[in-house]
Amino acid sequence: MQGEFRALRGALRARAAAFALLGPAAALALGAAAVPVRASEDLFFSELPIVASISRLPQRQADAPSAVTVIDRVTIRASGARTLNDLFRLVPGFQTFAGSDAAARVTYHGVTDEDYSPRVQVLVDGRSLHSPLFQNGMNWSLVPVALEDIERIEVVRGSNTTSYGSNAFLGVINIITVDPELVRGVSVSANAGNQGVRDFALRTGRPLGERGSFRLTVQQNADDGLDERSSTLSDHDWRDRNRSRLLDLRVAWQSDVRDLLELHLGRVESRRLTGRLDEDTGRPRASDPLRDLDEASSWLQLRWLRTLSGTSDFSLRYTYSVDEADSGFVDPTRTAGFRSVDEAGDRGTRHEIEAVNTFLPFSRTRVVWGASWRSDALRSKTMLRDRGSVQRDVGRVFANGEWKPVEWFTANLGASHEYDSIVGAHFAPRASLAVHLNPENTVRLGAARAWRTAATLHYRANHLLSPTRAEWVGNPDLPAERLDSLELGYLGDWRDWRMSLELRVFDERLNDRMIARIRTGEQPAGLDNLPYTVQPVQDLRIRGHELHWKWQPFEGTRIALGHADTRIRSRNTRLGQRLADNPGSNFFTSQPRYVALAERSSPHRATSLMWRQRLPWGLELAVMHYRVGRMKWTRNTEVEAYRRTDLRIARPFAVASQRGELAYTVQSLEGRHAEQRMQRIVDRRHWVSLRLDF
Amino acid sequence: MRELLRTCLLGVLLVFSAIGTPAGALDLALVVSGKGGAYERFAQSLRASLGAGPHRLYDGGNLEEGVAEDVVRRADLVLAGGFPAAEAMLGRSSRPLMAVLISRSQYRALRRSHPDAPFAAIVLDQPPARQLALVHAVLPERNRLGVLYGPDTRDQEREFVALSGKSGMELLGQQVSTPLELTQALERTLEASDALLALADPLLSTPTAARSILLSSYRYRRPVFAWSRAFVDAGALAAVYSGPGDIARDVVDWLAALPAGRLPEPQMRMPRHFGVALNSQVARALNLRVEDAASVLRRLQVEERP
Repeated sequence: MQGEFRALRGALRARAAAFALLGPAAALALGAAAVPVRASEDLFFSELPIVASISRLPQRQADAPSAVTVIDRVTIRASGARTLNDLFRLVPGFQTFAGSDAAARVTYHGVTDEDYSPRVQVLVDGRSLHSPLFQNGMNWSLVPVALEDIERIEVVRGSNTTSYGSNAFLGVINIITVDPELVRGVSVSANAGNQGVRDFALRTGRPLGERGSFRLTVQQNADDGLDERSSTLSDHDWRDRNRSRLLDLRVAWQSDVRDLLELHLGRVESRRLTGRLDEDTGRPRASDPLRDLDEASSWLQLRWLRTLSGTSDFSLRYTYSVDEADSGFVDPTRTAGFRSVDEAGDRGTRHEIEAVNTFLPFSRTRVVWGASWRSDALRSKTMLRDRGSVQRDVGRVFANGEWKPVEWFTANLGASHEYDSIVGAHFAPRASLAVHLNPENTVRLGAARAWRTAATLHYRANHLLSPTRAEWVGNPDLPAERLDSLELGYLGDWRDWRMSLELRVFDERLNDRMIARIRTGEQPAGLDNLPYTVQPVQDLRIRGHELHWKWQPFEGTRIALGHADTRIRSRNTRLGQRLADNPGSNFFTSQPRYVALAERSSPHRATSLMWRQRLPWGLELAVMHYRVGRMKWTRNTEVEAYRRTDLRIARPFAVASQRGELAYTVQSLEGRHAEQRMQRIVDRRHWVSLRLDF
Repeated sequence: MRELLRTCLLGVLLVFSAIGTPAGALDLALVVSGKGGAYERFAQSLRASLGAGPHRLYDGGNLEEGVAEDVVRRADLVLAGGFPAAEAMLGRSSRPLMAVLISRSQYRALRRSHPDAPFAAIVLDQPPARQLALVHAVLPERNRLGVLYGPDTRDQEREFVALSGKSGMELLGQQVSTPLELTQALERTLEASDALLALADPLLSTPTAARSILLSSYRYRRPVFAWSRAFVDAGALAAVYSGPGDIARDVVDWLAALPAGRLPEPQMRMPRHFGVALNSQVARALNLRVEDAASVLRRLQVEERP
């Protein structure tokens, strides 16, 4: 008997060694093995992996230093959104538009003019999606996560660079994806509808032995984009088209009770039509022909989370990402040697390492502190001509503390110091005080200073049209944008009424707001034309209020109302005023349009309403209604006020162990309107979705 | 009826086998499954709890390093710690035996394989009434309780259902047969309940299953009640559990309650000594106001007083 017992133990050890040697591949093959018999002492006395490590437990909303809107996976599914940016229509103060030849953008409190929304930080499981290639911003046509894989999105409304880095200038979109542990089986889904909607996705997840799990998603989304508003010209036969493909793998491995290792890797590709038609002839322009813009982003992330004790944990994260873009063409009208043009290209890479320690030094104090280092490289034959690969290193240390000396009061204090090899060093502090009048009512007062540095290109660009003529050159002396913000918030959480109300009144001063395409009127040495540069020309004051009200009057009924009232005033900086007085500068000739670009970059009023209703026969209905005031996304375009209603009706079903869902979604029920510029029509789009889970 | 007959027969056997021992004093041999850990803590606690009492405790060794056969042979009663030790001792010795540090389902397995052997057990599983009392003590306002049963614990469902009727709690039971069913079972249960009670089942106790249970519960913002301190450290809200020290005290109590010259009835008993574990960080994250563990324990002890 004893011998048998020893033999069994030996066999178990051998199996464990095989796992260690063969790694996840073997574990994958053995993943569905039956549950091993566990000894009673294992069942009752063995340690288990610490899931509730201190950094993973959510912070109470009433204790948070800023206003946070959470979009959970149920809301994501109910919204019927096909693209990530569409979800932010539901968040007060956020603006977006349907992507077409112009990639979608997401902004908070306006300041819209840049192509890649650089002032709102976007993170997926801690990895920033801002890229050196995409002007230090987020490319919303390269979203590296399928909507079905999102656990929840925490939208921080307000500046928080001390916690999330300098791109968290006006707000943060923090996406947390579904833990591989919670994905089992295989799920296939498809959408088919008008306007070329053809989407396919396959998701799967399995255990990797007793200690790990993985999930894998493969997805392709395609549509015909938007139509062009008919003009005096006959049919241009111009059709937009978008296609994106995604591969996303996440592996979690609990190496022992205190150590969790995570691996993420994936790639997303996008192809869309870009270029312009000549207004006179209706034919593509030689300088901007119709062509494919191919973009791709690949990433690898490794993270180690160690639980040091019940009140302390440590995480170490390494991320490597490569972004590539190609919209190259030959412009025969240019000087020989300068005819090959690829303004969107070529390649940006980022290595980033971050260490964070979260701990409770005392029972009522929580501290998060850490440091990160990242190294960016950018290469572009067109935009960085003769500059080779431009390097940029950014180091950062940060600390945030939450102190709750008594039940009715919470103070948050944070600070970060960032060193940038191109720009220099900046210090950013923030503080907030929350008074909990009772468990249901909290009032919060917050203040923050933040800095946003520009894209590498803005400092180093060298876009030449000939040896002596430049389209765009960098401005090495560009100062960082500075934001000083003040906010007064209120949070009402009436659980008995199943209702919550969140109010935020804000006053933000954004100094040295930079605009990318400014001609100073002064001719740089060695050139015989006036190129565009980036200049800090405006100081903005953004004031307003937002509210978010949620109510569940009945078990099957949920209502969420969001509203934002935003006023932006612009004033020229000293430099801006000098340019505004210089007839040789386009800031002089287009002054009213630049003022409008700043002041109307956010609609004065925007409202969203989401109503979710459980219906008889297992049907689930969601209706989203949006009202958005007129605004401007770019200097030369504008968009009128619009109303939009989206609707989704779904019927989940189960036949034996087979589960799935059949749904019908319609967007823009009212039909034709514009969202980004009047020339692009957003028309009614509808599709049928089928999902089968095996 | 057959069960009753068998119990009577075994009782007679145990009683007869005890004849010849000095009144009230037993020679106990402790044989455990392995070195260190819970076994070591149990042995130390037992030694301390027996103290200067009438019974003598002899070290019968462990399965890893070898069993002291002569000690076992001489003993009036063998105390077997852990399932492997109990199984081994039942196979090689005919001495009366009390199994400890085993689960309820393991007791049943032993009973099945040794239907006529003279043995009793104190299991580690907590009585269903105590588990429900914990939920009620920690979260008195939450009435809908999801209960996860695995293959080894599904036989407890009837007992839980009967008790819930008395306590006014609505139970939403969910049986899980394979690891792949767990995620969906959790979704169904958590969606419809205010809190989740996971029973001590091997299927639910693997590291991946524990992670799955806890991560799902955070997704739905529902607290989890579990069966061990380790589960609470990992992220469950609370648990009632009996540690090796509690079981040792139970053994001593049981021996003390024996009529002189008699050995225990061949039956399974649940622990009477227990502790409460509570994770205050989890309570705070879930926005729950809960009492401290000591207060909850006192309350449960008061409720259990006859």
